[in-house]
Amino acid sequence: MAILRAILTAATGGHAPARVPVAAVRPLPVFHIETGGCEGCAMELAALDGAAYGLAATGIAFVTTPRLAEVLLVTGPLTRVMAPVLEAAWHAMPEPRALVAVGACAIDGGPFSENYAVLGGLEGRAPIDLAIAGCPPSPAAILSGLVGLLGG
Amino acid sequence: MRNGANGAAAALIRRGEAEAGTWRFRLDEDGWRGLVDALRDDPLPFVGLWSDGRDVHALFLDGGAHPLVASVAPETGRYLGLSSVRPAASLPERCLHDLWGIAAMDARDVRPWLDHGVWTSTWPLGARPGPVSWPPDPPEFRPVPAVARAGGMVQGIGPADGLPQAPGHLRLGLAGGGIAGAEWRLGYAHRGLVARLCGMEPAAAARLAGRAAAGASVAHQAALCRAIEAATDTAIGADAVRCRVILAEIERIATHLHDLSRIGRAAGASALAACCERLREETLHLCGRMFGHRMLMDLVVPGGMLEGDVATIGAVAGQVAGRGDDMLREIRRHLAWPGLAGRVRGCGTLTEAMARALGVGGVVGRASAREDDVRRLEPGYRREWLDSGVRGDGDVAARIDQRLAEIGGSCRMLAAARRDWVPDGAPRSAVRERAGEGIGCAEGPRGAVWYWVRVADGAVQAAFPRDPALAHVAALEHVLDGADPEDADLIVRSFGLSAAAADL
Repeated sequence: MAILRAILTAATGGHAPARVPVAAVRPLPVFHIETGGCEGCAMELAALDGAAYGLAATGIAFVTTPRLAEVLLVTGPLTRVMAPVLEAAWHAMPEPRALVAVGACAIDGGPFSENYAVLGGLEGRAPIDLAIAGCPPSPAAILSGLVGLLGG
Repeated sequence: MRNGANGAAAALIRRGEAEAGTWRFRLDEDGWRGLVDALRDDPLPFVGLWSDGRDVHALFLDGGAHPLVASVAPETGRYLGLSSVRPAASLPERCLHDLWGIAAMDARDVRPWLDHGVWTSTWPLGARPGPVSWPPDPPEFRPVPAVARAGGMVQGIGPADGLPQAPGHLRLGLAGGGIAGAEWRLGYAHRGLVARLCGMEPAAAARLAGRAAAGASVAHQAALCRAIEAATDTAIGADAVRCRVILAEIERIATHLHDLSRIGRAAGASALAACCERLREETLHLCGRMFGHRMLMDLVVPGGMLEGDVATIGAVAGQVAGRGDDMLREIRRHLAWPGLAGRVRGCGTLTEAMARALGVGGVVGRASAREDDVRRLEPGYRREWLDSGVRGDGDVAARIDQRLAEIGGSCRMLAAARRDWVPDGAPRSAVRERAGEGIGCAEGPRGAVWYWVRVADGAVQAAFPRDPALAHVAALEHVLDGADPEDADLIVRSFGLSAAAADL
């Protein structure tokens, strides 16, 4: 994950050193939380995790507890009720860890901007390591974004 | 006719003061009380309950064909609730109180539902939103006497379980090897759709409605557009009618495949799941390539369809319909997997009477022998197209079988809709600048979606969406009670419950 951070910093920081080849010795564990939203991104993630895309072969695996995860993948606008849930999941994760926002809602609220029940997107609220745009982004777009995390 | 009271409640509503066309009537307090009394013996189906900030409105479906709304002005913030005579109205009553602060008297349950105490105000849509107390009250769950008596445990699942779905919390009491009491706690995905729709222009409102529930995007778009068109007296062209039918049926196929794959995963039938996932991806990929949107969002607009799409939509319909027979043959081959039949038969049974009492329609209702399909009311459908029938067993096996039959039905509809279609080249007409009130419906993949709107000055002034998911919540609590804990996930999947659609 230190390598992951380095690559992310390189990708977002403007410097572009040679990519470090990484051999995936075990799959990168990803924990997904939907924090509101229409479930469209979640359905595309379900498609990605299904038979139509060979996710296991890419070196990425979804896990069902944040305690085993290195990546927290968020979809949907952050509702006020889900904010403490998201926070708890983040703090349950071992370090180093990365925060990935998938879809317009998770990034900046998309069609569900701040109101009495919704806080909006993660942008400006938490340091996002990777943002995958789209409403919803296709499984292929999500996959190519996540594969970038592996440095492959 | 099952009893002599048939039609009495509808007649009572119609005796009120007509406020919108021949479908919404205002009752005074006595009239409303009389209606609640009449509903005790009258089978008039309840559909939805909401407020516009001033009045309380209840939607019924008279004779399965005529939407009928009864309105009453609450006295000192209260009205006589419907849940004592219509259990299906219980969750809508709780939503109404949380959003508008109007309380139902004589209600079965008065606990908060959507509001967890962390909003910026209480009753955010009401005339006088209230302050919030901090810290919020802890949730109050129904007691589980069996667990207290026999010793056992209470298991809570969610709202963040790592599965690709909207957040929700399911609380199961486990005693004596079975589930003793099941209760949902939702509201985590509430985004304030009603508040957002108010003030929006019709086109923007339709775009937002397309994101109410991704599994029923076309249904939400179409139902809202029909309500807006009814409100503004806008007629749409034959092409637009046909296109909406085609998109709705493609969506039904895709969402049924999604739900079948989730059922397969929960049942351990991974080959069935994989088959459905591949077939769904085929359909979605085609839609993405041809329409630029895999989940068919942003395609239906008030007044018709987005321009220039008519020929493409016909071509996609032909392609999906052409795959139908192969698709079904493949799924049925995996369904024959020997472990599956024993697992799903007799599992999670919802009787017709319960489905009726809890207002469960859609594919789940039809798997419980309820003939409930609002496609009969939608323009562009022919009655002979609706040939997939109903199943009587009401178990998980019936819900799987019903979905398969409907995928076949949808493919036949796509083929028929395409066969005798000569595009007239005018898919879109302008929405008329007219103030009014309208109601619209669409049979989504998981049940009937309804929208009520009030339009004035070219914008939506008040609106209400009704999604079938809320009825699934109540029905699941009933069905899960007494079930094998091992089957809980499978039963939930077989309903296709979407917490995102229940919370809105």
